[in-house]
Amino acid sequence: MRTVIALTLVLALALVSLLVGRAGLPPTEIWQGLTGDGDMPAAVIVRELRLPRTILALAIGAGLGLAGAVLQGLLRNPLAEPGIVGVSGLAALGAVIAFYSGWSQAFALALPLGGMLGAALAAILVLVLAGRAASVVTLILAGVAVNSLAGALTALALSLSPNPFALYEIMFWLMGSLSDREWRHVWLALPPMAIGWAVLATTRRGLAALTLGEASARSLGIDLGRLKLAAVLGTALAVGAGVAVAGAIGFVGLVVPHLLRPLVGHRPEALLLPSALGGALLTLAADIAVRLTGPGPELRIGVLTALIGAPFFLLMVLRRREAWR
Amino acid sequence: MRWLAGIAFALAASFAAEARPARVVSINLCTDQLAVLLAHPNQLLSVSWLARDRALSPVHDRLAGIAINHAQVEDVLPLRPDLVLAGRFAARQTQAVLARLGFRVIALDIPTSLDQALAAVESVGRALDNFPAAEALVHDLRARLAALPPLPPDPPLAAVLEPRGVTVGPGTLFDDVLRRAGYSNLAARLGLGAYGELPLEIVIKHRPAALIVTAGERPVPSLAEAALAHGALSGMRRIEVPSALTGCGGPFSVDLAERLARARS
Repeated sequence: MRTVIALTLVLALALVSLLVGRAGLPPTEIWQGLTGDGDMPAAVIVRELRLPRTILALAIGAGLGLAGAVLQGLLRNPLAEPGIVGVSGLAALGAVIAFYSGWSQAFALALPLGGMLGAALAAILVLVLAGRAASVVTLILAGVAVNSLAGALTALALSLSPNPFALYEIMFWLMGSLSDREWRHVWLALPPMAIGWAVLATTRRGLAALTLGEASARSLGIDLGRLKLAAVLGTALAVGAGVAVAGAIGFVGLVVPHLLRPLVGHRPEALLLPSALGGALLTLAADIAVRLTGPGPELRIGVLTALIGAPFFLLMVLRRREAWR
Repeated sequence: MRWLAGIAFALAASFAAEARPARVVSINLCTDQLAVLLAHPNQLLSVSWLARDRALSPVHDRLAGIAINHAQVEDVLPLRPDLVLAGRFAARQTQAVLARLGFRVIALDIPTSLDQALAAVESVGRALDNFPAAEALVHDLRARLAALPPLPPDPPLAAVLEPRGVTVGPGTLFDDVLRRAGYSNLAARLGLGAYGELPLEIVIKHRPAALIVTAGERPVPSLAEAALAHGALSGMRRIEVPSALTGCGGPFSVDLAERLARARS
């Protein structure tokens, strides 16, 4: 029942998102644009600009929410999130290298592959660290280091580009944007993201068993190595491919699972689908909000998610201060 | 230190007032182009690094024997120029320091019309003591402008889209070129300023008869340039003009006007 309500909400917001944009078209024209002759300006605006943007926002948000929920369940750490642990940052670096080197012009798949490689590298790094019984603090500090390094290398790569526009594009990669994305980006990123969701969904049983501790999970027949591999691979696919076409959008994977956890009785395996839907909703809502900014260039979507997410993060740190001492 | 600069200034000023400048350095892409066209042999010692970029500079292949500077004071000093050409709003710190050290610096304004662009040709010609050549060039350019096809009674609507989603509005040289070439500028219709932001949705909504995009030959891509090839724009009539023709005012602005007028008919 809840899933039906959530899906209805997602669909309703998707429809709303088709109504919002710089051209300010009335709903009747939007409807004609969706259904009528494809040459009308309204048809081009709705089909070629707003629809791919909406689909990407939903898919990227779903991946972030899902990956956040899986990482938090796996590491039993409420602060594990693709942005904070450096997955998004390294994914952006991988995509930057693939794009500005010109590789993605010769071979279009190089772009999502670059993002996925970067994301996989960060996810492996996190698991290696966490594997040695790292504390919450260690994980976060490692994330700070990975993020700083990824940000610096991204800035370096863009500074070294012989293209004078490259340097202005650092905000896109660090803060993310869905502005003027097109179908090409959907076709590049959606298939790997969808595979990523499926892989992440296979961790359900493992995450449920893991709440009892690693030893009990093993005795229940859970292959922890495989579970971790699925988490890394799924995160790399779901987050890396999205970052490659829209930059790094932070905090979605932190806020959404945290808000929804009480609703599912704190069972990590029950959190996956709600987190995916919640992530899709939050990201699309944020993207609708940035479309309303202006005049002047649109606000980057990551600015908005950070404005929501960072105070949230601080609040979580304050609440748990005692436990982490 | 101050007296030394004072002497240097006096010396430079006295030379400049009398003789043809023999050691000219240009530190701005736009003065680079005019200086390359108008300098006497061996008069121009150095131009800015941007003059080499084929995407920005129509004179990129005419720089043999001319050194490259990065518009830094330390690039300019060893050349001991007796004239430094600069842009009014670029490398201002460099200009200020050079002027304080007694170098003769001439800063050119950004032309906002074809007339001003032609006047810039003349003022660089005058500064290089080559006014006759500049005058002849301007005469020729005026003749070419006069030979442009007559303006249509109902000029077609054109949208100019540059990388980063920027367009050119009233009060820019490009806008003047566009009007002389027989177009009506969407940015002007929308009431945008000189360099306004033009979102793709707005371009599509107004159905311009032509979409004018500036394209540069670059070794590697950027998102800003990739966005100009957005699928949503594919249904529009597209006129690509080399970005090297649009950056600066001068003879190349007349080339731009001719290209645009030809593309219209």
